[in-house]
Amino acid sequence: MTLYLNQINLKITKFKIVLFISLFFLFHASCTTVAQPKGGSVGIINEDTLYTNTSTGQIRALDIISGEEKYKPHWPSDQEISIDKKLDKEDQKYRSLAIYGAPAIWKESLYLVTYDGYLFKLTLDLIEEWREPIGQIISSDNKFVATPTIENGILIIGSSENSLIAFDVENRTKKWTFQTDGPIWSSAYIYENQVYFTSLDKYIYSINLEDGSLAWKFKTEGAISSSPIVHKNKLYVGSFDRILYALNSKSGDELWRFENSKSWYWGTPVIHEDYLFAPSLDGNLYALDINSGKLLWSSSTEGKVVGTPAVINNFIVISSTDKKIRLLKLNDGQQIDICNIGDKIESDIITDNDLIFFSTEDSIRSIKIKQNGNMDEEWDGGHFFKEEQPISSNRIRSC
Amino acid sequence: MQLISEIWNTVIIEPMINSLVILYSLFFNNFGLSIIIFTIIIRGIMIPLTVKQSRQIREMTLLQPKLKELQQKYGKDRQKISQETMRLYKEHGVNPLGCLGPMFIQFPIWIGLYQALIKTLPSTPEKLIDLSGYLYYWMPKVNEIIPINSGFFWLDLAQPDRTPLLPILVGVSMWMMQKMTTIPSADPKQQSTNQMMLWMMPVMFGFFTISFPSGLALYWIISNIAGIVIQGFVTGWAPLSSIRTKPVQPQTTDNNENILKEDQSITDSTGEENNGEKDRNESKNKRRSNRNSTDRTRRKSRRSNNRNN
Repeated sequence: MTLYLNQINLKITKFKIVLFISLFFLFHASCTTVAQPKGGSVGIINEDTLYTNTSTGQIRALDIISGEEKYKPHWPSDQEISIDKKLDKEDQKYRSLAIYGAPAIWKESLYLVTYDGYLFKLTLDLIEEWREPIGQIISSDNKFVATPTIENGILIIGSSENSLIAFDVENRTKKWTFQTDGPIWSSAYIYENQVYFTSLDKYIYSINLEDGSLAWKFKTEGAISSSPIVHKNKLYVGSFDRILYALNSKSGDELWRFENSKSWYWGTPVIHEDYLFAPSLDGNLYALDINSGKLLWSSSTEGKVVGTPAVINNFIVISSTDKKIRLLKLNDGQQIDICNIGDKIESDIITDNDLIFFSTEDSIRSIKIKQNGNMDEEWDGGHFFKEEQPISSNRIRSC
Repeated sequence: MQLISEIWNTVIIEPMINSLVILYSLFFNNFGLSIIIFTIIIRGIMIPLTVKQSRQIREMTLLQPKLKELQQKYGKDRQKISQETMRLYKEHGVNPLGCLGPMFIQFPIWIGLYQALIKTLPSTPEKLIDLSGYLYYWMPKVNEIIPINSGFFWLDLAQPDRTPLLPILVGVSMWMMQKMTTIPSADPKQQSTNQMMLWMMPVMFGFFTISFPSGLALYWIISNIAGIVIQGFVTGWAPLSSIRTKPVQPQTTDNNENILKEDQSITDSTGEENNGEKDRNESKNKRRSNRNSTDRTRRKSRRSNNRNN
């Protein structure tokens, strides 16, 4: 005979079992274990080809007019993909092949650095020429999220192991390294033989391109992941301390600061004539006077403005995690058009003539900006990564 | 759904994340310490619930022999058994489902804390961008201390432990916790379910630890230790299954006295209580029971004196 109390106890125990089995599935199904790096960037344009690295760990060469794949990628090889496929889960399929930074182009070759520390040299039709484990120059666990910069055959890239690496791509040898106190996620900016970069250690650095010796460093109150931009001997960059700094690029002296942002700066500022456009994670784009740092206008979105905006014709285009692309007038920030993309956008925006390009988590999109400010989505709605046929003819245009 | 998510984030996740960040800045920029102190604070806030839950478990354990007697006394008259059982529970202030209430309240806190830990230690750039949306920017130093340094002894708290040490510690602490809180049962079916739970949870959580950030494993270990300590102070340090007891005496009535006498005679006749260790346990529990009933009587008399005054 089943006891009454035992019935209750049994119910409680069953409840506990159900609870913890639910927990098990909740934890695993929601993919909230350790987040796997996905990578992805909108890429770089060379003549009529957009080279883009996808969030599935691949590189693709797309025709900028049609969005069609121009070259069949030879990298990663089928063997490498099959090895990674053993990880099984869709999201982890290309885990070790994640690429965050856009490729760099030098002398008709593509250079890209993978998250797990390999520098690849590919031909423009995507055939691998060589690969170097540049991460191991510092440590075997070195990770890379920055976009490499190339100047005179010297590739410069920051790493998670607190170091900036200069690598001679012609001799395939290390040129120099520069040590910081924090990971480097920003891309280096080279200007008049100086390398400018930032670090999560809160510093903005200026070092000599030839030997990696320090010229000056400037401390902010927050980590910096945003890449700096230098224009007419002035450096501009935003920090996690919610301040956008203008420094003298020769001396590192502060010229002015802008303190109105309510959140961090992530994307790189954009300069156009006397305007400085600063995207902020508080969802605003701030337009400042480049000489004084005075706020001219700001435009808000319902998400975060993560990527770097782009100037095209007389407009500035901004992306947001609220899934929309906005076209604003340069002089007063008036919104001319808005395009709902249907997926959050964290990538930079790049341009070619009257076309803009940006990436979402699973697609690359192209939008034509007409002279009157209307936006039309190109490529029949976009180039998607995870389909057998990348371009679907019946996809509905977003704008 | 989005509204629920926003409420959840505003009420649970954001306060937790910001508390962790503040503790990190207060305790030497050490996130391991931050997790330990935060877990203790959370456990401290939940002490009333935990104590209530522990007491319910203890009371139910203590009532078991008594309920067994009722079963034997009333045979197959299930209605009578139910009535008597409910009466007994009422007399002893036991709600058979009472231990589920605190669990329901603690459950969202566990889930919230888990999510907060994951979000506060972003392992990729895109996760760091997400974190920016949860911070209270009016809080001092919040911008200065991000990104959080996830190192703690040999651990990277944002990554799983590469050694088997943490999964073992999680499993062992969970097993001890389970051992202390499992209500003993005479029913073989119930007993086997209890046994399964006793091993299943530690194994399951040990398994989680292999693939989850070690910061979360640290939380589980500290939380288990805190749970064991609280349980120890409330019900004693011996596992509940080792308690062979007589129920706590309710307000004395003739009827109850008779039942207790019957209990005594039945247990004597079965000879179960001849074991010396069990005797010691029984006398300990008797002393506790007497202390409890004496305390109750004192409190009652104090209350009545106050009323009279």
